[in-house]
Amino acid sequence: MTQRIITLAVTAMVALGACQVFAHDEFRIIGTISAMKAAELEVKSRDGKMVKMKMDRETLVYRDNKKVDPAELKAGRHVVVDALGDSMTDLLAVEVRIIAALPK
Amino acid sequence: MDTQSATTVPSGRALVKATLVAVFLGGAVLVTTVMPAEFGIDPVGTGRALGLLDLYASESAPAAPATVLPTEGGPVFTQHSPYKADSREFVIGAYGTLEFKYRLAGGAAMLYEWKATEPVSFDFHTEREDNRDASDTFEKGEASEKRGAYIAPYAGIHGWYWKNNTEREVRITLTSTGFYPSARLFRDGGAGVEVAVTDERR
Repeated sequence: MTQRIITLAVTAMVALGACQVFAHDEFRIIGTISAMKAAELEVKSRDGKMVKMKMDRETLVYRDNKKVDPAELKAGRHVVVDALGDSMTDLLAVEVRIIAALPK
Repeated sequence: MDTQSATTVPSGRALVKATLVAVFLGGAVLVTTVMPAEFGIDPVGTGRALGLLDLYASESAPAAPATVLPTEGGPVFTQHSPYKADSREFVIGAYGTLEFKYRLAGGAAMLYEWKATEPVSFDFHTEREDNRDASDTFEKGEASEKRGAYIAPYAGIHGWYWKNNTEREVRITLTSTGFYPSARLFRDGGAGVEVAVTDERR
């Protein structure tokens, strides 16, 4: 029993330590929304790539520096998305800014 | 009863004689002891014979400085990489990002200051040399300038990720001094390029 507790404690400590050290990379995607589903945002970036990102309750959406409802994210709108993940194919949107026009 | 003390006044000749004897003795002491001991001048050799010249030598020679070495964990620590001064200006386009990190050995120090023409999001973080997936963020927020001192906790690249959250161009001026051989620049999420850092003092 004691051995099991120690094993669990060590596993938990290693897992927590790993979470702290192995942080996700931060990505910024600038483009136009091509599709918006319940928990997934698809953006066509300025260089023409389609980037899919997950969204969750923590995802913040802004327009004119004010927080707005995620329902504001509609196809055709221009956005700047800050997302976390290991690669461009595994991203979670953290902050989405709706902008008037794409920067040149 | 009438008392009277009889005092004998020395004659002028006796006074002159006593003065001459005193001057002679004083001169002899000056030449045989004071001059060798105080000034290192030994005209009659008594300074060497009596060891008085050693007194002069020990007084005039500067004391050897005491050696104090930095202690482990103390406020002074030796650095092995070359010391450099660096300054550069970055332009970040509308909603763009830029990352600039100095390559530092574990324990290497750096002093820095950066100023932006508009407030930017920043993240001072690291990338370990022995594990590029491992990273620590030490300061994060939004500011238009920051300055500080940093000692790298481990070998790797250490620096800033800036995000321009405006539709206007932002200029960032970075100045630093430290013990870094090079740096790495990442623009808009790119793979990054190694940047040579030359010492601006030369």
